[in-house]
Amino acid sequence: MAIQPAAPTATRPRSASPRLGRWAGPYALLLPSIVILVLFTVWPMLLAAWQSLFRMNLATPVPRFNGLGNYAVLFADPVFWKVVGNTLIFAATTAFPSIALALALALLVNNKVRTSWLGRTAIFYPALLPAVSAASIWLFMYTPTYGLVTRFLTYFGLSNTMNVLGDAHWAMPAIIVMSVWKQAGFYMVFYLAALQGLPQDVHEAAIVEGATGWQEFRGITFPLLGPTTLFLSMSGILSGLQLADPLYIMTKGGPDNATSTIIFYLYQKAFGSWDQGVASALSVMLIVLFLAIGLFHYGYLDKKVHY
Amino acid sequence: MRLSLTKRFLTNLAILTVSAVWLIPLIWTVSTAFRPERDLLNPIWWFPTRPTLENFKAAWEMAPFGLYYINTTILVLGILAVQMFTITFAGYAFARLKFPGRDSIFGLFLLQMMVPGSALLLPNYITMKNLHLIDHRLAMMLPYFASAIGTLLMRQAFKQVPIELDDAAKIDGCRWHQLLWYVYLPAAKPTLVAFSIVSISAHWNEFLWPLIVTNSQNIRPLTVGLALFTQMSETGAQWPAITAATLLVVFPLILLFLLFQRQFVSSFLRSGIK
Repeated sequence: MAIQPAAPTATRPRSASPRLGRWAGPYALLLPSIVILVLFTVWPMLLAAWQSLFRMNLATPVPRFNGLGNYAVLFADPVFWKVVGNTLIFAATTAFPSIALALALALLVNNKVRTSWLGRTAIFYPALLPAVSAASIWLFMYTPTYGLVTRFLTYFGLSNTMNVLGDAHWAMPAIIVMSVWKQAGFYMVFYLAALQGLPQDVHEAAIVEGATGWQEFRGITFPLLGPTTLFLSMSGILSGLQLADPLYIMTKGGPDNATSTIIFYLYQKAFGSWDQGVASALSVMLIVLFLAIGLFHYGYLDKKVHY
Repeated sequence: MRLSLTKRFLTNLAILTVSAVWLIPLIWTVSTAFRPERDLLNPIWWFPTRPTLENFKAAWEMAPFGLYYINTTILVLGILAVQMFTITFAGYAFARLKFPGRDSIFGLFLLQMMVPGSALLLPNYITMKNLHLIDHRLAMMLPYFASAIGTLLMRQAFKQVPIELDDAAKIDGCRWHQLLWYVYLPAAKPTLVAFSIVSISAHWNEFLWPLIVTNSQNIRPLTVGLALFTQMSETGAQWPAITAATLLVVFPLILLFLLFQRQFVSSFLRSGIK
């Protein structure tokens, strides 16, 4: 059998024995993935960085070098800062309440009672829905006159033509409520799994010591859930930072950018006004942000959590 | 540990209350969808007094939901089919093989996990334009053919296979593809199932990317179809039709979830805890 060492190495890797005949080599195995990753993860990062240095919009058909001009335009734009603020607020106010709620619900549902199954199913199902479907459901709930939320609030004396999503103060909270409704179940199942994995002997020792439920939770359960809480916090913040889908359905970022987020703003700049230069600058900032978070997570945090 | 009767009663009550709150949006949507339009402002009874299917018919006629279903199915299955190959090959390479550059290439996979697609929407759109793939199914699928999460999961699963099995098979004259198929893949079956569920859910629910790279209705998936449908009816606010359309989109998901609950939940858990 002809042996074709496809891997350009001086020493053949331990596992690639000659008896394997036409051994493809690790590079061939990895090639498809590498091609896709380079094309759609690495290249776009470089492309965005390059394009962000040019003025490229509908008024400038031939791109002109602009240095850091696009970034300056963004930093000078109050809408940009509003959008950044919104995104950060949104990420924080969705992630942490969802996780806290998820923990509470997990503790509740973890008991062996007859309604446990119902609780788990009812709380988790929204997590499976496409964001646009959930948004569609809640858009209707918030609709003036006909919507369930609106009609519910009229019992408290509020006008039934009130438009929650059209109010600059209430639109964001309205979307936050929807997000928590959607996400809590997803985090809850992680807590449930973690709770079920907790060692029993510590729990028994607590009972012997006469600890109250709250004391046990504070001193034992919660710390033991640390890795889960950390993981969910990262997950929650990352997904919160990317919120955009529901905005397309519910508010289109309005009223007056009150609910606009970075990704949605990016979408508008790139595919609404076709301002590629500025949109690329925005993309670069996002990329840097996510890289920073990712490196912090993998490089630092992972080592800190105790198991 | 069995709770006292009062505690059990209170716990059940609490769970029922929370469940009701969580279910209300869905129940409300169902109720409206089955209600004729003129009953829209009726008092809030959960069961429509005159149930009707006219809203579903209207929604089905106003937008090609059947086509959207087909498109979404092709999209998620197409992506999954290719992912099966890429994650198996790459997972095996990282699990068992040593080669120069392994850490750097691994870093490449980590990069995909750190930088989400939403940050790369514009440059990837430009790439698709340059590849002349705009408004083609491949445009929606291509970036997902490689999956870092899937690769890591498979790597972990493959590492569980005892190396003796590997050696024994090779001594028997096994070629690489037979090795993968007969020795490694069987061990990774639960991982493949879990990953399939996660992948299908993720891509079934995707919105912005398919919206951006498609122009024509004939390849658009359900999410985009539904979104455009709600925008279309904006100036008529045909809520019954919109709720019917929303139900058309979520109903199969919920049904599948109810049938395969355990698998769904364990799949998400498995891929979360790397």
